[in-house]
Amino acid sequence: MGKPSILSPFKAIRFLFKKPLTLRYPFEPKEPAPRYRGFHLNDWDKCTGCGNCADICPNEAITMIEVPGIEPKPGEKNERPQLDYGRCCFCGLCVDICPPGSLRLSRDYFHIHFDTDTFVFVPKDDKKDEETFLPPEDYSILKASLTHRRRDYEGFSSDLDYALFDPERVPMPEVEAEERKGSFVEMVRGYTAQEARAEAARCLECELCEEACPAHLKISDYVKAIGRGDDQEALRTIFEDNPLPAICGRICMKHCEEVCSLGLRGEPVAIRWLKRYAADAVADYGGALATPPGDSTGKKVAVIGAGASGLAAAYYLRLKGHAVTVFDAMPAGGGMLRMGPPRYRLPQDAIDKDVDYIASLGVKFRFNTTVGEDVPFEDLLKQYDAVYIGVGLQSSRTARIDNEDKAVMALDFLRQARTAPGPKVGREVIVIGGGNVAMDVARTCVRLQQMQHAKQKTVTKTVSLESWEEMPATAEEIEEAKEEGIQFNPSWGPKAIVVKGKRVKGLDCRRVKAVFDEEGRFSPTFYEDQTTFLEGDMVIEAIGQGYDLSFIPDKLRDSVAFTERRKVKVDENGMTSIERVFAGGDIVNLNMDAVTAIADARRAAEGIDAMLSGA
Amino acid sequence: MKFDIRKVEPYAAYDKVPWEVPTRQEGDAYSRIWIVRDEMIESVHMIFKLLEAMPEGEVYNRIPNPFKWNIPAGETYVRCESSRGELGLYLVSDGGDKPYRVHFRTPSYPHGLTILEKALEGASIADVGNTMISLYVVAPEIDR
Repeated sequence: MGKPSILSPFKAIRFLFKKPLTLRYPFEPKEPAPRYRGFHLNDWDKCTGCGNCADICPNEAITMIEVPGIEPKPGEKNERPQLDYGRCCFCGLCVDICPPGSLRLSRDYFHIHFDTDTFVFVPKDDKKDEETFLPPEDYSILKASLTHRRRDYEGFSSDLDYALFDPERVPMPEVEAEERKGSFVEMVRGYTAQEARAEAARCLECELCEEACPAHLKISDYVKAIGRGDDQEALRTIFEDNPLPAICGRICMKHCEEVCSLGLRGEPVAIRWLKRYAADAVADYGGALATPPGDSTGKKVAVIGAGASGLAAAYYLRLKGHAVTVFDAMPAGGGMLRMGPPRYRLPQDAIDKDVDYIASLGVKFRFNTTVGEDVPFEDLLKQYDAVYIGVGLQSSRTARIDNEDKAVMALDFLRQARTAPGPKVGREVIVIGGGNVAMDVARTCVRLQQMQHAKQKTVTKTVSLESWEEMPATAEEIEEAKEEGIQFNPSWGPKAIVVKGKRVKGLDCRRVKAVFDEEGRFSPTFYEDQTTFLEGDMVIEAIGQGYDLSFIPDKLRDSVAFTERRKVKVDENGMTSIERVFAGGDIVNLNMDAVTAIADARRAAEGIDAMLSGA
Repeated sequence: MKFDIRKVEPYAAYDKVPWEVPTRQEGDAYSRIWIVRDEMIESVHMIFKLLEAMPEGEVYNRIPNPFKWNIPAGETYVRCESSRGELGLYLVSDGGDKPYRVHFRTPSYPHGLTILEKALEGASIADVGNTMISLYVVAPEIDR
């Protein structure tokens, strides 16, 4: 301190000439540290409304409110988070868990107002709200509040390094390309119990998947049950909405995984493989499910077609207590599921497991019975109280090219390939088509070629009107087909099969100009002068399927209503324009996959039950 | 008294870096404050030694999914050394993802109530504030 003297106050004058240590706020605003946690910013374009931020907030400061002005894409909600800054403790957990990474924290922390209602705030960011988020030249620290913020990009934003979710999936063991193309062994090996539990633990329970699923399965509930180790409970939850888990767990188009929150910045939860795990882990469905069919109502329902929609309709109607008889022309159940997907994607025992369980509930099956030939359709209408049509798309579309009689149709080919030894294939096969069925055909050909022409040079080619970007097959099918050595020829249109004597020599093709016209309708146009010749000794067409409703007698068929897309029209209960006749599946919906067929069947079963119990 | 939980039940990397527990022989408030300063200096020395010896590797440790993090049912008491003494956590879980009962055993509670009473025998009222601060008692911590 120094010795006290009369002059000591004057020693302080030296501080006049030194720089002051105090910050002359607000004229010299203090720059907060980088990654400082202040008020929220939300990118409404990326935000999906999943609500994970609201679920994790320890103070329940976030509420999801509906914003009517937003049109959600499928799998997103039109809700956005609303923050109550009276509760928020700025911990940043909401940013750490945000799967799309839309929520961030800025470095503003001032808001002074006498009205506490202004502390409840819906955060946007400078893309959507230019009046609130001002460029630096218009921003003034004196007016800083929740409605006067600066554009700040150095606050706390989410980063995959320490995100609270795990962006990587538990990898699914698969058989390698070299090994699998020699046989029909099932390509996907399936999860072990431990892997399934680890994969189920990734789920954030936001339930966006449940809305995207056409059958609205309770996905987050069954994933939670698998995570606990309770496979039987998971199976029970699946069966409430889908009676074919072993089949769908292998071939479903997984609309759910497309919208999974984790898929936005990582890999989605493997929902389809977890359903397959639940179906495989429970050896006996009956023991786990214990769903006795309801008391007999005395009503009889006929189901035409034992495919996905027919089996599901039979299951739900049987549970309600009606007597169900399923007619099918094939010798066993499964329908297109039996004929379509090859054995390396859907082995026979998976189909048998699901179909046998439905049969064990008391559903009567009449196989090798074609409605229209063995049983007239009007007899069904007379003898049964309701009829459900689930015949599917039976007839193959043709490309209308020359010498088409030498080509094999995909449906016939795949049906023969389901039972060993399978149809004979040439050494150079050309498959016309770019969809999943064409991929199935091509990959089946590769395997049959390895088995029938072992050690010789074989090749399988595909030809499609669509280019790489337009090809309708799923990306993983195309990828796996490429791995197995299939050559693709996109944007070529077949013109004629070249035949010499009785043998096929190849396919003449011309270059495609466009597949769809300006209105988006299928109307291909070609450059006739650009042609190529693809060599091959066998041509298989896999370009689409159509329905065959010839079993309905003419006078009734005239009263069947069709939609503009030429599908059978049904009302909200699944009933067609003919009384007591319901329909569902590929002939009704546009998705044309198994799970939508099951959803249609469920709706029709509810409709049939309402009609039968009300009438 | 030479008692530090970081020596008795070492956690984190406290048993991998050499350090000593500071003690003083006189039992009065002045020496208690010097012990706090000694602990601070010892911590700084520890930080320098740790910086030299830090191994390479990932910085962030991934924690389980917070929505599915279930603690097995049961009860436990764990403790660590805070700046004021022993900080213990008593946790009872029923197997769910939220704890059933949580209680923090803070050092200010026994220091501030029992030790303070003994230490103040024969002291004057002006000494109460000093003794309490030297024992590093913080009122909000008593209330936990």
